[in-house]
Amino acid sequence: MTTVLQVSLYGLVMLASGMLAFAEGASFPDAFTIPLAILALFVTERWKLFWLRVSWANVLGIGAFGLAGWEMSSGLIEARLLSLAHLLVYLTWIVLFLSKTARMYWTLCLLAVLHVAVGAVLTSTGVFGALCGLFLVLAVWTLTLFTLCRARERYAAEDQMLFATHREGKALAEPDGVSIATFLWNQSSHPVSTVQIDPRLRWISGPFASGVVANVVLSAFVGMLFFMFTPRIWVGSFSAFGEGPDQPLRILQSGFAEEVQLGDIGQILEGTQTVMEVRMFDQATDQPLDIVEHASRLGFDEPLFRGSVMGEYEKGKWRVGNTGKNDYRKSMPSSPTTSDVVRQEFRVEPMDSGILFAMPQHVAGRLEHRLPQIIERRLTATLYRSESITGRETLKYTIYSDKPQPGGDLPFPRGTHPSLTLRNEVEYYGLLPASGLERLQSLARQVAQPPNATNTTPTEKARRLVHYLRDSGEFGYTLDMSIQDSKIDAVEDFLFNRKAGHCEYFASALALMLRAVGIPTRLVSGFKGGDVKRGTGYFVVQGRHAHVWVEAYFDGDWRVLDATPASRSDSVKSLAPKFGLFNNLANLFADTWSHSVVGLSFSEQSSNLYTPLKELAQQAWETIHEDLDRALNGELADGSFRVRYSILGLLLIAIVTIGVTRLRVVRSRGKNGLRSGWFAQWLKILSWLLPREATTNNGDGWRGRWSRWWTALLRRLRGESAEQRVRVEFYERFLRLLRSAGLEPLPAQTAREFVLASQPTWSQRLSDRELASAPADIVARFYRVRFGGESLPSDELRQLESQLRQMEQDWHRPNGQG
Amino acid sequence: MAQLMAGLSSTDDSSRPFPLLGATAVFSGAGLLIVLKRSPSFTEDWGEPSYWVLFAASVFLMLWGLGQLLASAKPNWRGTRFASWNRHRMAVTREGMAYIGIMSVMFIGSILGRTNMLMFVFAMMIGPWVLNGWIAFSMLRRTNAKRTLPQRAMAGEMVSVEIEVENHKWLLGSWLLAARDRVVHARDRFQAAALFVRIPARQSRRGHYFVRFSQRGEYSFGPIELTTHFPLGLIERGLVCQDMGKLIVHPRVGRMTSRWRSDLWNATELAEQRQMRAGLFDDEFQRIREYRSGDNPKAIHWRTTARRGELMVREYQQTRDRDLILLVELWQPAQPVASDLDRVELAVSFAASVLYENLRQSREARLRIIIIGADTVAWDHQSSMELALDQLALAAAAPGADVRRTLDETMQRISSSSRVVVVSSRPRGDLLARTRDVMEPAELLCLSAEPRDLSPYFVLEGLA
Repeated sequence: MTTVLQVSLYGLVMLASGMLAFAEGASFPDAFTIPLAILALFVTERWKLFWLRVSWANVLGIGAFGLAGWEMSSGLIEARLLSLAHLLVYLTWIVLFLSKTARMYWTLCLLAVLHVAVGAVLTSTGVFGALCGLFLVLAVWTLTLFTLCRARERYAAEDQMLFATHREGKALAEPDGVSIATFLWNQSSHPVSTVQIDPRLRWISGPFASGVVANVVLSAFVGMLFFMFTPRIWVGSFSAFGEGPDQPLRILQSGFAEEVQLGDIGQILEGTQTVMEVRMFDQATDQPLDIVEHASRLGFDEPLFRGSVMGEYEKGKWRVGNTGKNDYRKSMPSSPTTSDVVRQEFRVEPMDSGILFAMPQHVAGRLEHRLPQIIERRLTATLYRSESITGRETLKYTIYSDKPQPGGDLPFPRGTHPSLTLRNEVEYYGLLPASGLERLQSLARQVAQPPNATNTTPTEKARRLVHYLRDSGEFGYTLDMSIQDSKIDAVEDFLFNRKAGHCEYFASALALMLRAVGIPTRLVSGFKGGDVKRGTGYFVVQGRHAHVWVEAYFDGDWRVLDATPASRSDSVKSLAPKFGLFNNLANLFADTWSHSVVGLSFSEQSSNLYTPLKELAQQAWETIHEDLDRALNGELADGSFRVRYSILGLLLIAIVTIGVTRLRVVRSRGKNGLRSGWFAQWLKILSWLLPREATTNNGDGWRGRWSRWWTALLRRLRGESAEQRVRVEFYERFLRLLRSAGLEPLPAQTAREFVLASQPTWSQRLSDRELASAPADIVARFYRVRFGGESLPSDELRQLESQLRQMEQDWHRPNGQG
Repeated sequence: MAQLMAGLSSTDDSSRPFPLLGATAVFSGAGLLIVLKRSPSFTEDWGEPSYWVLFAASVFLMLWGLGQLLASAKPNWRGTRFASWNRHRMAVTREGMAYIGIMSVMFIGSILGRTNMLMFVFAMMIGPWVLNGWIAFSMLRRTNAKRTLPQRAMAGEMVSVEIEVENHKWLLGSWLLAARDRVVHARDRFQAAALFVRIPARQSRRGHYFVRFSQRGEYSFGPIELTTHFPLGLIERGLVCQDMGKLIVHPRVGRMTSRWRSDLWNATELAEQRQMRAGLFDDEFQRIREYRSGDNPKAIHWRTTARRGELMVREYQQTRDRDLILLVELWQPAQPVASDLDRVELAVSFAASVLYENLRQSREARLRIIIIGADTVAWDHQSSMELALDQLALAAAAPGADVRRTLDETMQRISSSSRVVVVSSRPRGDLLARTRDVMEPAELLCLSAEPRDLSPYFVLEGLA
């Protein structure tokens, strides 16, 4: 069993190290523990060839702290947490090569648990969660074995302890005469504990293993209950990674930065990683909305999630830019002024950008259970999370938006508030680079204002340009980002050389061409489209749904224009992952993990757990309350038997329970005296309800008769034989008297011996000298009756009664004095 | 090994795990109660039922925690109503403390760091924790422990105490049950245990522990506490079985020297008279020896003479013992020191040794022992020897013990064939001053229970 324990424990350490390495994403030093553990298992544990001295271990421990401190301060690692993780690894290495005691084994277990805890801070993937489950199995198995092993060691120690004790006793027996020495009575008694074990017992057996399995399953179940019901009321915003700018370990690169190089989004467009999940509700009715249908009513062919807005273009780069002092940021209202809005609930995976996405047109919004509000940039209506919130965690927020107007806004749906009011703002969004886009401007004028065109409204110009880029057939959709002529502007290269590109190129070309014909524009990046997930109802948006489009300002509103050809949809669909059964299961697990574990929030707990339970409890309470009221008021209808029979049923159950309990107590007393736990408590309660055994009351009143009858019944129930039931009442009365002074006959003691042995006690109690011989008389008469089969004459009985009464009076006087 | 055994037996209560859960329950219950009273809005959203549920929970937590604390603080409330109502114990082992520490760090870390992953690891840890407590509790359900004690024992001897543990559960076997027995004496207390590795369902097992008692007197046993921390060793649950018992430990018995036998016990004035035939005083045959001049011819043993070829005679020894009255004065000052207690114990051991010597050597001699201590009790040879040893075991010293009055009465009534020996726990000088003017000093031997006085007559084995 020791071997099994050692293998299990070292396996536990190896698993924890592997988990930490997985979480950190680096094999050294974490994973190096695995070969070291194997080495230590054989060299230190099995073959006992080498182990560290404690002094050396202390020196190495100081070195480990120093190394971890250096890592923390040197900036060679990404975060402080990693230095802590490495410190745990170094300490584990040291403990592995120490000579093992029970405490060392425990230390290894705790270090393994700490490995897992640190790993949990570093990653939140479902794989790590599955490994946690495996760790739980191994940990429970190892700890159970450890407990058994300690017991077995005690068993092995028993003989040695006894041998030592006997040897000690022999040495003490040597005569030494009486001398001034330390006497044995000045020492404490010496107890030696032992272990009772069946030699045939197999320590590790089928029942043992199945018990461990059951323990693991139940532990996981209880743990999950704790996990689900512990309210997620977070306190503070401590970040183990420091207060500085986020240093991402493994978070989604969104491409929604302050400055975007044309083509950057292409890599994201190939991604199938989930970016966010969305649900929409009618705020007034709290009914879920079909997002695709909602988008359609807004005038979009697919749901459009607006993100970053850029206004400045130069040499293939778009920048967010700034129009001046009025382009400030403000806090967004956390709740709408009316319930006639759409509620958009977002759950965004960890992301390096602070941008928040939403479908137009938002009016209010809030982050879930976080004090900082959503920040909105006034001019562009871009939404940001507070800088105090790290992008390492799944972010949840709610946006309230206007409901679509009947009929929609054709041909171009309305964008986002607010309107441009200042001249410099209109000019800002109409700016073109001073040089490099001459051909683009010329082309824009040709397309937007053909020589024979009569309608030159901004709407018509925009329609012509969109049609030219999207529907003319001259331009194709591709994710190939090769540049043909690097000497010219990337957009002109797209328009005149490549004539193919992805949404970023189409949008850039449209925005610049619109500006060329005098229409203010801005480039908007976000996501377009998504898939409704079966089962959960979430609208899932992945990286491949990233999209760029244009907002153009005409007719007093920002309008959404999208020049990307329809073939984009085919490209997006073609990028969808093809799932087999295993992949589907893995995906399902990952989604469940992401939603129910990593992303569990108080609102979800409220809606899925607390509220249903609360409603159930309230309903039950009200039902009981109502029924009781009706029952007490006598308002039960003839057909309403529920309460009546419930009460009767409860009474019946109570009576049966009392009866069965009482009988079991009686029988168990007769057999083995078992009175444990709640059973004993029940007995005490029931003893008030049922008559007691005739132990104290021998009167002739109704209580005496009742008690004697009850005692006789109990004795029959206990199965006492007729011989056992032969009792001599006056002797038992005498015994009860002695018992009250703590005198109890020993099992092998005759009545005469008992009375003689107890003489010093009762002789002090009896003040009357005449009574001094009474006990001997009682015993003599007892022998005559019990074993001689005699019946005492009435005068002797009267004398006995008198003696006993007198003794009882003397007995209970204070201090036994007359 | 001894370190491993340390958890199983102990001589005091210091090794008892601190009832951390009890303290936590009291504080949690009180905290919840304060919150409920001070912040009515706390349960507003949940309605009236939730208020009463939380109120009941807080009261229950406080009461349960108090019960645990009291049970831990007053383990000697045996046999009381409190003990019978509060039989279940719960305590956290040292390993459990470390486990709680790590769990707490994870929980606080998850709350402060807003991370569900740490909360997940915390939940994975608390599951086994709760299960450990529940399984340990289940192991103890419907179990019972009984003790089989010898009625008497001798101080310094190893005694085996048997404990039988019954498992009355239908299906679940009990693993690693430790039956801890509490043993209390006026000057000594300790715990001993027997560990039962496995007790299958509906079966019982018997184990035992050994004790070498150091003190004479009455030892109280019980209650037996069944404990287990199976399977993970994090939480220890206990069940108190109110099986009480008592055992009388007789005083340590020494060996009387030959000088005692020659000076005080035997009729020394007749000891040299060897008889050639059975005499009046139940003379005993001693040996056959060669004939010497002057021997009684009737004492010749003819059969041996024929076999040896020389005259051989039978020799009888006259063993007419003198009666002995032993007065044991158990005096000690109001504030006794170690040497006072030593003298008391030596006096008692001396008396017990005399008693044994009587049994071994001179069954026909009449011995009477009068013990003057907190109580005055007497024993004579007609009563059982066990009773005398019991009286010696239970005798207690007192500042008011005074042998003088009893000694005077005894000296007035003794016959010429009686000797009186006083052994007293008083210092030698004090004793001599008190017995200087006693009548018939020739028949009296006064011994102070000091090694200097007793060593000529008495060897006490078992001195450390």
